[in-house]
Amino acid sequence: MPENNIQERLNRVFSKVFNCSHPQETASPDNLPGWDSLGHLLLVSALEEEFKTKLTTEDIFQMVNFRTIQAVLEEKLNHESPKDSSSRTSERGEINSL
Amino acid sequence: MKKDEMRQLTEEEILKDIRQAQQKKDPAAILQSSLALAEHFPGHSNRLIAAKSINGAIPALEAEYSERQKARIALIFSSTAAWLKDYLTVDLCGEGILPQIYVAPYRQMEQEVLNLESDLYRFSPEIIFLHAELSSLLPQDSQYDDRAIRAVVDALASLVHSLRKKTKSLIIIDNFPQPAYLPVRSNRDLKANSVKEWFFQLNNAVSDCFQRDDSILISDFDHLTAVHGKERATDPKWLYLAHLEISESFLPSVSRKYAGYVKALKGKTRKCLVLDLDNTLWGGIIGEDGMEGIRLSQTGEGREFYEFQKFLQSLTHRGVLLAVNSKNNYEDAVKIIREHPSMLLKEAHFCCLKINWKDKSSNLLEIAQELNIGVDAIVFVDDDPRERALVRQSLPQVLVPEMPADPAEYCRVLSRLNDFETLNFTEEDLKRTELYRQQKQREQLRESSSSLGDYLWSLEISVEVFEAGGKELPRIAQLMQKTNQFNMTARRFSVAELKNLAETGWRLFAVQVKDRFGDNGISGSAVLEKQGRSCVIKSFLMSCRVLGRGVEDYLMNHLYQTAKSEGAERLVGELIFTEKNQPARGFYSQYGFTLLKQEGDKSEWVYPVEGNQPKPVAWINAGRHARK
Repeated sequence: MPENNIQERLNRVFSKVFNCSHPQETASPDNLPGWDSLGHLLLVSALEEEFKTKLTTEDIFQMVNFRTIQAVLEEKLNHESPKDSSSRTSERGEINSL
Repeated sequence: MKKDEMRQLTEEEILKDIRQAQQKKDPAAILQSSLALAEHFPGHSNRLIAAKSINGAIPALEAEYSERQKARIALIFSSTAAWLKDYLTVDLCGEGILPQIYVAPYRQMEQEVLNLESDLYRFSPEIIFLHAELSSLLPQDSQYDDRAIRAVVDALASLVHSLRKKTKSLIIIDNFPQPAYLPVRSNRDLKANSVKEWFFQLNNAVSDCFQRDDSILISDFDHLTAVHGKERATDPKWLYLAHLEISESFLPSVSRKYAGYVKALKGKTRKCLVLDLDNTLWGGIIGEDGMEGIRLSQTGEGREFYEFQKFLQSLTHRGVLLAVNSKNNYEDAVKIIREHPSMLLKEAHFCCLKINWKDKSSNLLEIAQELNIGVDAIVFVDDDPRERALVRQSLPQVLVPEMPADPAEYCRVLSRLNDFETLNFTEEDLKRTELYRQQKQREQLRESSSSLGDYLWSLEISVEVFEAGGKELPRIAQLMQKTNQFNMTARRFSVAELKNLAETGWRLFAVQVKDRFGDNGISGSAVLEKQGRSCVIKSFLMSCRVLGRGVEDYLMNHLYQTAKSEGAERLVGELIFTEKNQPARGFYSQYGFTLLKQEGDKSEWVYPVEGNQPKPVAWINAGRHARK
């Protein structure tokens, strides 16, 4: 998956979740209104839905600002074999048990 | 149909609409677009986003909603309730109820309840949901033994005891779910002393403990998790990360369940389920396939319809009325109902049969009229998507569930509805279909009577008015919740509030009505408050079933006598307009009250004790009725 695509989709999720038009790459809970602990849970849920993936607890702990989120997602999505990614589009509950 | 033809907005467009509505500070538009987002793009995060924007709009919307359309809800959870709050907000707004939801601060469940000065009590909720995990009520080293059961019950009882000191609100307590993973050592454990058995006993003990208090309901959360699937009811990731006990996939069920209680509290319970016949109650089309070609059987082909009928029959035991609305030749269809060997639902199960070639909306209107219920108390079930669309378009107040293509799924779809939830289950619920059948006989008598006077005399009505106490309170609370039309003030007291009336000096009257066709049970009530030299009617209501037979005048006569014997100079009637109490509004003036003052929707009417002599209702006998 090309990188700019991930960033574009990431932008979309951010603007949807935090109701902002153009999130900065430097965005973090310190400078983005609404990015509190509940906002973070919502963000993670929205990312899982947008990228049709399950983020692990470890992933989520690493995701502390815009850049680290992008890094985690790139790492995750680029390391998926095509077979994997097709299974990820199936029902979410099943992915949970993988 | 029309809806499908309109182009569905994309997700981006709806989000843009929300943003524009926020910039324009247009709360109604924010609400509308947010609900559209949750409905058409129903992912988990979209629901949370919809709730977030709705929450921003709620304060500005409050003035536009009546008390009946608003609900003050408290969630007292041992875990994080934030997501459930959001789901409930979206669900209730979608039902036309504007919620204000208070969530007790995380990890402060006990403090919040025990501290009588806490924000919880300042918020003064109408309904409280208490959801405690076992781990929050038990010491860590507890065993699955009797001592632990007692400890849990005691802990809950003490929480409830504190709540009761400060609030009269309805309390819903979730019981305890058997966990997905049980420490079972061997299959033999299933029988004696197993963990499963312990949960069984625990939940029984909880139910027993609060059984006597009608303003406390135990909600079967254990069952809810079982239906959803124990493994999927909690997502360990969210539990560990944020103490969110209810998984994303399970949230809709829990929210639906909670919303059902709120709707019942707000008098939004639906009363009648109207059913199509062909391919709904049986497989095939009677006009084409005939009696032999119909698919309906206890086993094999047609079993899905038999099981659906069984499910519908069980609904009648909960007080839901059934009716038929079908395009067919009356004789053909009734023959099946009477004679088909696997037809479980007989004529006696239906309070109304509309089998003709009229359009279904007209039939629905007639059913509502005959049963004296609002069109918004009807659920209509039809396998044909065109009929569903037509009814939705012409009667939007009727709930028309989307039915699955496979009739085997019918039960499942209907059992998910939260519209039949009632807070108090009473004797009257069990007999409801019977009560409506008696009503039909009365109407037949009326048609054959030469005059209204003849009819009223021939009914042989006997009425008892009495001051209601303990065992009648659930029925009266239910009447107050469900009676919308002949209800002078639409004040809806809970059982706990009714209990408290006596302490504040208010008097509660109940009316029990009998006639030659049967016992209507408690069918009306009134609340009287002595204020100086006045006796003020704070509540006066009558079930539609007995209206127009002089019972309302009979009850008013009784209130007059009461006022007189209390030495009051006047009887003062309060009247509060609601959307639905049109039929009640003229009652005071008809009886002889004169308007004292009017302020907006509220008015006061006066009837002096001196110099007035109420007209006796000649055809009603004073009765003493056996009560259970």
